[in-house]
Amino acid sequence: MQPTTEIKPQTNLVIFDPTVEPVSEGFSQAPRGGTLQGKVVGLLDNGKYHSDKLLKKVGDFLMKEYGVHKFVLVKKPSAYRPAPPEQLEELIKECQLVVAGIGD
Amino acid sequence: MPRKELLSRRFEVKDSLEAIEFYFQKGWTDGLPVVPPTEDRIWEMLDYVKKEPDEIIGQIPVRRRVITAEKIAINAVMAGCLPAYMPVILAAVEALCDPAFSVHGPMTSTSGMGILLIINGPVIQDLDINAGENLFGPGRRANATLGRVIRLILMNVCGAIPGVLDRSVLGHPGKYSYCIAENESVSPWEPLHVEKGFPKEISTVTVFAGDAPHQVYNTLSRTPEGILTTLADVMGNLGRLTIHPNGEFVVVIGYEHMKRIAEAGWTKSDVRRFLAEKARRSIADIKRCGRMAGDITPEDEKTLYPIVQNLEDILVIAAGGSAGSVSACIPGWTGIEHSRSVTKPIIY
Repeated sequence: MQPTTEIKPQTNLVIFDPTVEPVSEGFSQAPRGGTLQGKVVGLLDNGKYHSDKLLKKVGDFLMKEYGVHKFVLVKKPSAYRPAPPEQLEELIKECQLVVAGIGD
Repeated sequence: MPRKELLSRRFEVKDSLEAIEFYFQKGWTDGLPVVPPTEDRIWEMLDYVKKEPDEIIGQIPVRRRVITAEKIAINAVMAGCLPAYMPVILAAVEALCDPAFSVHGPMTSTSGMGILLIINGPVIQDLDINAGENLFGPGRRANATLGRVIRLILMNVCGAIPGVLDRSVLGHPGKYSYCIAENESVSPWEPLHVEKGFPKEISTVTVFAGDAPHQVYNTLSRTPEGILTTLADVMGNLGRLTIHPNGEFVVVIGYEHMKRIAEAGWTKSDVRRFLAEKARRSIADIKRCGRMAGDITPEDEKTLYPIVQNLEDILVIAAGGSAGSVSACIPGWTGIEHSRSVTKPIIY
């Protein structure tokens, strides 16, 4: 009986990458270095339970130990979304540096 | 016109088995073998929806990710999808990228949500999507691979790698695949997409960040009140993820329950109203288990806290097998200000 399909010898197989790297254009690192003495530091609160209490302690610590002039605490409306533009504007206007992180 | 080139990196392997092992080693699978995405198979996916490889289907700005048709097609091949599923996948990706859904939260959260797809409209018949028996279980290619491709896209394209960006404490089995359809052919009620303003003849996909299905059993009650009281009790459990009354629920009414509820003349709106009224816990209960701060006052024993604030936050669908008195509720992730379900039309 004749086979209905011809079986070809196995050839090499070309397969493709399913992953994506984050787009990095338009992002650059701010200059590092210098001291915290006399600076205004922004602390971006992600809004999780008690994050404000923790960050207040961080701010007090930075003032006491590193001579930070003052800190500005800004609370995001949602931990899962980017900070709204007006909050970022406030931080840019008032602070020389901002600490943003993820807390849970 | 000559075809554009596929833009993704290429790898050469000996055969399909070696390809399957290659994807395991790269960490590009959900832990199960994948179908090797060859150039022909990827093009079949793209051609079905007439998309060029570099066409952008969605973006997740918070993760700086761009989702192109090519990457969707590659992952669709890997998941075992047919080219005919591509319109559903494109609509689901658009829904994931909708700011109201805000996929970054549910795909990364310690709470371990799955992304539930609910399919409505003629596409259910056309693609043989299961809306009946073993609704959340195995056995149907469309459900299994549509749910799976969304997970692969979240991992491979959006960066939700378990243990890296996806920090689920437990997760749940729906994170492998979580795709159901409404049983419109037997339901006397308005389908979900019609309730959301789409014409009946349009097909849609709804994405919902959901916990595992919590099954609700009541075989003896003949009344809507009896059946739905058991459902409301499960909705109101103290251990659900969000205790705040601004989250969504999907409520799946099984066939037998649907028959009894509908025969009493109740619509989906009646179901929602009853559940919202009954799904309540006393403030005292919530304080006793520590999920609300403060001392318990005598007033707290009498004050009932609503589980659901807005009736439209209960998504009711009729689905499941015809024998057995089982329904289910699926608690949503957290408040609707963080993520809410999104419905998109399927163009095919």
